[in-house]
Amino acid sequence: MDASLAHREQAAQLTIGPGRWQRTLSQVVLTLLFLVAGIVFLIPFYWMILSSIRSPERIFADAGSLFPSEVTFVSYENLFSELAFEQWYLNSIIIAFGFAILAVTLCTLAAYPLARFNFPFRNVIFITILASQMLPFHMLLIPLFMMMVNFKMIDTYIGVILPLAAHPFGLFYMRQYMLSLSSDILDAARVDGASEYQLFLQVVLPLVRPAIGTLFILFSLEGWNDLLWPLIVMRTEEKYTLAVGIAGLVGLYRQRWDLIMAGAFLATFPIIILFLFMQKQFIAGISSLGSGVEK
Amino acid sequence: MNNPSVPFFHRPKVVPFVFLAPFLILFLTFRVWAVIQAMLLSFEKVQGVGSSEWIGLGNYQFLFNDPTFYKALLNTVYYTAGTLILLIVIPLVLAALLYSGLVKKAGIFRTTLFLPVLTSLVVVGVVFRLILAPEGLLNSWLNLVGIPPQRWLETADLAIPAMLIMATWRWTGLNMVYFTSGLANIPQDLYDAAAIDGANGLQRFYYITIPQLRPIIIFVMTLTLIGGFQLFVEPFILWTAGASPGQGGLSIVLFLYRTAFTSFNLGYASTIGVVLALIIMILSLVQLRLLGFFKKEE
Repeated sequence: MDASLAHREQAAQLTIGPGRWQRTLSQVVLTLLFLVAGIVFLIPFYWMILSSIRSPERIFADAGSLFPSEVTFVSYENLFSELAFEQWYLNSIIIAFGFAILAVTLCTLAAYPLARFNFPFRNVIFITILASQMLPFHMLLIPLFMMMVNFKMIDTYIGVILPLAAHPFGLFYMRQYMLSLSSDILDAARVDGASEYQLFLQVVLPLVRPAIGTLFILFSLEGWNDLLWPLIVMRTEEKYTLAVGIAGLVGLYRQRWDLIMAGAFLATFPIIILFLFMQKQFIAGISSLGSGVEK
Repeated sequence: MNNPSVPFFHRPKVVPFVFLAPFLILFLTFRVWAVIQAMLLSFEKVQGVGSSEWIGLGNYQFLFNDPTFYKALLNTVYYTAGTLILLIVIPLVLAALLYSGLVKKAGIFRTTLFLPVLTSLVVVGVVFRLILAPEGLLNSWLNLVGIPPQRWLETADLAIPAMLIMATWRWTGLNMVYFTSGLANIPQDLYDAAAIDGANGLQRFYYITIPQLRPIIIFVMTLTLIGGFQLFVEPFILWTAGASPGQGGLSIVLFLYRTAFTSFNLGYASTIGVVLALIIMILSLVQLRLLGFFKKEE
């Protein structure tokens, strides 16, 4: 019996007899392993809820116990009575959506000629924008802060949204997507006498809708969760976003963990619910970011 | 078509720039101009907005003799190296196991492990302050397996491990998505052929999965590396305003932030930013080389 035949038989054995038994065993072990991992990953969420319904004095004292000694919603009452929490919420919504709408619009407009036209300096422009991605945003923090002061944009929504809206990654992603469109449809519309602007609005936009959706989700999540830039621009309490407001509570000398935990819960759970509804688009979008580099 | 009276905005030479203009105007103002300003500021002594004095390489000289900078650099490198191991190995193994078909209800586990990615780092930080507290959950679990309680957030040497625990929770699910999309692109024939040759699961993982995933692994490593060097929110929240014991959690960006917005030394802070940018650029170029760009030169 030659060696390759022996291997073949071995392989065949895996699918019958003891192989099937082995497979079931590893299925059980691995599923249990993931069950444990899943529980460990959910614990911080549970802790967030748990701490927000504990009585405020016990949040740190009971930080190790799995159940609350009593359930109370006083933290939430305090949150709304002592802080401009609704205002922070509104600010976060305005900034997340404002940023996403502006950034997606700019990226989609700019990606179109970079993907579908030939014009002077096209490659220079594209490569410069792409290369700027390598520079950390933090390097620009001080000049941007000074610009905000000079432009009187401190404490304004536009000051948070505008400087980050020309998003190099968003442009790159949209351009890649537009490169894959078939020229036939565009040429047909041109022959029919459509202007470039009509073409963009009536033909290109509907075709790139999935990419617009992906970027919109990613950008609004980025706008909702960002801390550093809004922390620098928003200086008065009524202008804080949720992230800035909660970070500010942590920065107080006497920390109010009841307010912090109730705020953390309310800042997080709407996003989780939205995600569970739109999971497919979310994951498909993020996966496509990864596969973009493989080409 | 070739009508000489084509309106200005419809001329073929003008059309691309109409589309590009809004992006380019913001890009030139808030990126290109800001980069130039940052470089100029790094050679100046600036006390507050409006008053500055050219001091040449003064800030750079000061930086390279500043023990705080070296502390921040060392911490950042330590944290980044930790994430490069944890956030590659764990997500890769978990993604491969979930993809193998050996786990029941894999979709539910994928969703669960992804949820932390949606949370704001501020929220992650406050929750982990409770979990890592002296009487907190982690210590009570360690106690169960006989490890004495640690003062995670009060010990300088435990600052980076504490942040690595947090990072593993926050980012594992994201990197799993990248690896899963890579796994889906590996041709099944490769595995079938290996199975016929008698390769076991571990061998198939090592000889097929890892080499096939190479581009995506390098991509995730690049993201992890750049993200690691930009560490800021985690120490800023874990220790009130980032004041960690013995500066154990001080990162380069936190150092920059405090120099600019606590000491109001805007020139020196710009110098830190420029040096950080140089470090990240060099590391990115190394990574791009690994990815196989610049191949023409060989």
